[in-house]
Amino acid sequence: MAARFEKIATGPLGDFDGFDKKTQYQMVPVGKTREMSVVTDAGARLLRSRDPSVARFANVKSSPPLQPSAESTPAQIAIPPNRKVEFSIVAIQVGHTELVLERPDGVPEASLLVSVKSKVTKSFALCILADIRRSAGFLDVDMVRFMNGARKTYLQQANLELTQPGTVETVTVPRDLGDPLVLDKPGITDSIVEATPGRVFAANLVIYGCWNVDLRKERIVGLTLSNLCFVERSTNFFVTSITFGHEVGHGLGLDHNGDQDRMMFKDVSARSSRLSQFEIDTINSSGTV
Amino acid sequence: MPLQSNLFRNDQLLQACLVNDAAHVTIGAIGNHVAKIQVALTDLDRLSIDSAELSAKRYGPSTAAAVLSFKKKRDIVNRAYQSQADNIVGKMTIAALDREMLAKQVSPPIRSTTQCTRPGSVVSEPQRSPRS
Repeated sequence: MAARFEKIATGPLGDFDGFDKKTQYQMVPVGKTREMSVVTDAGARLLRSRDPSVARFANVKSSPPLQPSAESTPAQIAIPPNRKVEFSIVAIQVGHTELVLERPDGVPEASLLVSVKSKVTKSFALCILADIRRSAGFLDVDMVRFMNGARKTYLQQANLELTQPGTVETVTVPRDLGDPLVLDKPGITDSIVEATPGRVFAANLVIYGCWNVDLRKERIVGLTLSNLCFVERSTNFFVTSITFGHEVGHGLGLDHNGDQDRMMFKDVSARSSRLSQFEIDTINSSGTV
Repeated sequence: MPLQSNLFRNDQLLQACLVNDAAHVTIGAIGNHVAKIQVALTDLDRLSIDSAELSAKRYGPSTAAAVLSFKKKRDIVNRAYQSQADNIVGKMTIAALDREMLAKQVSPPIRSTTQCTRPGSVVSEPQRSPRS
């Protein structure tokens, strides 16, 4: 087996920290670290950061410990055969670098793209929808709790901070919108927007907690129209939580992902909050290649 | 007890109307509070209100006539100083409107989510796939 990178999935972030296994990519917030390891086979390897001014190594751990070597510096680590070496990737400045595992003859064998990103901030407003017949049934604390999950996802994986300048608003539309709420029926979204206080639209994203939502006579659990996200209250806490993150993703410009193990997968069989490299780089373009 | 229906509960002018004679809503009033009264009259009794008054959110003659009709039907009369219904929305009227609007409210049943999509945007065709 060839030498390879292995993600260390420990600590509160697990490997939901901006790592994309499929593309061998790691986002690291500038000034922060992410943990990684390298496993070697019968041959020695040199692990090197192509641009150590962007990211370098620290906290190198191995059992038995690595012997001090002139080859091992913050920019590279000499790794003996048959060894697992754990290390931190330290983000120095915004940009990107490649961590390369080289054979003794200098041929690259594996690589990991590191994108060092500055923090990007976007604001959001939370609204609980009501009309003259019904209310969505979300409590203010529900909305905040569900959104906190999405905030954590985007901060940890993309260094995107979502802030809530105001408090949760109840938006009462002075008409019967119907149940289910058919969002593509003429006048429905216009009525909702009209009933929403103007101050709400100062936020980058507006998230409405809704009752049952349909689109084109089909059942859906969430929908995003431009920067307006509509999320249905469901019986399943996890589904609602992921739907918040999913619709916020659309509001941030993301499209669907064909991978069921991603938050942007198109239906509720996706129960992961994982973002892909492309999605991370789309919503936070600092540090992209 | 304050107004409780979804339509009225967050409206300060109508909450004031419930407790203060000086805050009664009468002909000439304009604003969102008038629009809400018009919505309730239309919704509860299918009363016809002039479209110009509706768009201007104005308590004009047709709104006043609708209020009078609503009050007559329910015999809303303050016997302390009147013998028949008038066309003003006072304490008793706003309370009746609120009570009846509240009675028509429902709790939407929460659907299960065994087969649902998150279509994202109406420009993309929603697709379904069964839960694995």
